[in-house]
Amino acid sequence: MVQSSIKVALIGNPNTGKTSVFNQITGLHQQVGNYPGITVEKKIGTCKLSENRKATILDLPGTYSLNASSIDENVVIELLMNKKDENFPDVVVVVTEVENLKRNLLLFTQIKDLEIPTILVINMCDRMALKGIELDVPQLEKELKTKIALVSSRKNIGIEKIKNLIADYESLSKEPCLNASIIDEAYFNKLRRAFPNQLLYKLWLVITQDVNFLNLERKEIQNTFTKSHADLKRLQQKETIKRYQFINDTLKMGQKIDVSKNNTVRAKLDRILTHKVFGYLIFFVLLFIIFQSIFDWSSIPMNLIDSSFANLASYAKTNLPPGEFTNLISEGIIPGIGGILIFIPQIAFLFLFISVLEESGYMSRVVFLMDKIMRRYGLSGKSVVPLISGTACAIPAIMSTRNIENWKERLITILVTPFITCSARLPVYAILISLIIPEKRVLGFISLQGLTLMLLYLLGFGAALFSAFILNKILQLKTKSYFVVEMPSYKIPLFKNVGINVLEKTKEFVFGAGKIILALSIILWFLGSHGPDDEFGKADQIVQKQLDVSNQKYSPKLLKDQIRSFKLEKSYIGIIGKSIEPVIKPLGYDWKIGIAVVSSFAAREVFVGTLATIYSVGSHSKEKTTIKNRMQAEVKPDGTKVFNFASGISLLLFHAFAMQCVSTLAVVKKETNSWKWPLIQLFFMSGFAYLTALAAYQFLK
Amino acid sequence: MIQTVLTYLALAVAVFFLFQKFFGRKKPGKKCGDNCKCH
Repeated sequence: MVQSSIKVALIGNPNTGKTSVFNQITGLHQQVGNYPGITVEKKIGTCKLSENRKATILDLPGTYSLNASSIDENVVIELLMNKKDENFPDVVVVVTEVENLKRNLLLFTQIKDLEIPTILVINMCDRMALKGIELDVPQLEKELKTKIALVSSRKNIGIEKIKNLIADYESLSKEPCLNASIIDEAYFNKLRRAFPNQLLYKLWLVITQDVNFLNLERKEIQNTFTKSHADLKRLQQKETIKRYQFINDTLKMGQKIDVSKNNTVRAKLDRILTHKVFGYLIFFVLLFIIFQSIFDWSSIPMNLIDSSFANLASYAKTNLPPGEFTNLISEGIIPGIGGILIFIPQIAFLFLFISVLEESGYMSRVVFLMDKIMRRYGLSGKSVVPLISGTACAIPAIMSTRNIENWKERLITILVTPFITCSARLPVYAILISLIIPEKRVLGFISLQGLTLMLLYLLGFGAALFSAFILNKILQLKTKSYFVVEMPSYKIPLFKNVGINVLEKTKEFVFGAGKIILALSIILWFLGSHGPDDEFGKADQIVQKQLDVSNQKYSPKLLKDQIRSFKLEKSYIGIIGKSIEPVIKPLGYDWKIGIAVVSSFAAREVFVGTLATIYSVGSHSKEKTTIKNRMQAEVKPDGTKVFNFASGISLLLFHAFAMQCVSTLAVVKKETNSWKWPLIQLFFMSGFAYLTALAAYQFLK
Repeated sequence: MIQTVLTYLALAVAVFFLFQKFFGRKKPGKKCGDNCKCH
């Protein structure tokens, strides 16, 4: 039987639990992508409504109204205005929150006026008794000319009702809530006469914002009907006032709030968490716990993955027929995959903590708290969101600066975000810290390694603030800004939402960066196992001759080691590495580290995978050695360790500051619409990283 | 012989993948609205 599908758009203000509703309706039947042409995240999910009917749910970015001021808000408007869009919804589900119904209904009334069937979902209904809120649902349905579902996405209440309403969307009224033309009758009449076949409210939205709209010529509308900017703003304000008057009247009839029942726990918590001393102290302690836990909890699964891949490589080497492809599998592919998977535990734990903080409502308090600091450095409170999401990846973080209206603040945020320690740096930090910082505990409970990791995160944050301060002084752009942040209610995080987020981020790492690491591992293995024939091909004879000449007594094992080492040095990778060695030697790196540093410009996490492959090519054939052991055992010709305290700190600092991510540069180019800024970023950050690493090594060696 | 062929095949796939990833031209989205200014 052919299944018919209803297209549903899920729209709402930020922090109304829209994504929780989406997760509940669709379960795990979700796909994440980007809107065509722009890289704002798009989530599409499906749900079965009946035997022969399903719904395709599109989760749109959170927006406060249809008067967009940022690019991601514009996505909602573009979709609702363009009936030709293949995702244009049959029905819109507007998600609101019971405690902020008045503000949330503004968006609802605007969508309703576009004459699209619209369902109103009032979320977090389980908090109504606690907050002393009573709703007269039939009365509200009558006034708002819609159907209402009272929902608690956290307790899975009302989800079936939403599905039933979606299935029955054809019976929904398309009648608008408000007649927008009352704000300027003469002007709207003129519009109506000029475009008799177009919906008036749609025309009004086109005029007031720059959107791609059907076949209407924007220029024509602009020339004939656009008033001055000030007049349009005045009319928009008038429209908003009219809408709030309508919402107030509606809520007077359909909502009762007993203020005496309103619990003050939230107010008390807010006072502590945003306190000018305790607020920062609590945030600092939380960060401290997070980084301690990342190291402590993930060490067991990481060791397990590391040794499993070492065993697998050794097994492959022993049991597969000998030959070049077997070598590629055991020395290139398996260590390459191992180099990706080993970091899953740490990345999963990091996102577990970030998701819990976001879900609980604490992150918004952090944004508010940090605004005071941000202002001093020429950033906005809104810059905190990109800076915090930069701990995951600079790419979405830079894209999330689109909601910063002020260009100067946005540009500074874009330029400094790559300093924030992203998840790609985590594998590099983790392996280097475990090599150079002893596994000791201070005061019996503070892990020295966890503390170092936290210091590196703070260093990245400090570098971002310092650069912002300098840029604020240098950039001569005069602009005004304001800061508004939503403070959601405190909630116990939902396991399902946290789980989905952790799963998505881990998948992004494994399948995004993982493919690059694997491809590079294969190429690096090839370059490390092949070389120009003159010396590489005759390695056995040359080494034997050298040992014979020196009259040294040597065992077959020593001879084998010497040949392997000679071959690696004379391989293509050795030749490339040796040619860049003069530049990196003052930083304390040998040519093998140099190769890893250069290849990690594709993506930072490639650093560990590259070293794993290079050392794997150069190691004993059937040994079960882990990545860490191989790096630990690496010695210079004078017998000292390659990864010592000085070179390790130098490497950590280089990775903390260098702009080693091609994708980030591409996104900066796209967001600033110029090559100037990404190039400045590349040379400034990498130059600064080089000088810092040089100073650190020369001082510590 | 077969091992060498497989090795070079894997190498070719890896090089092709990386080339596509960093230099490949992305297909424009076909769902953009009219008068789309994004391409």
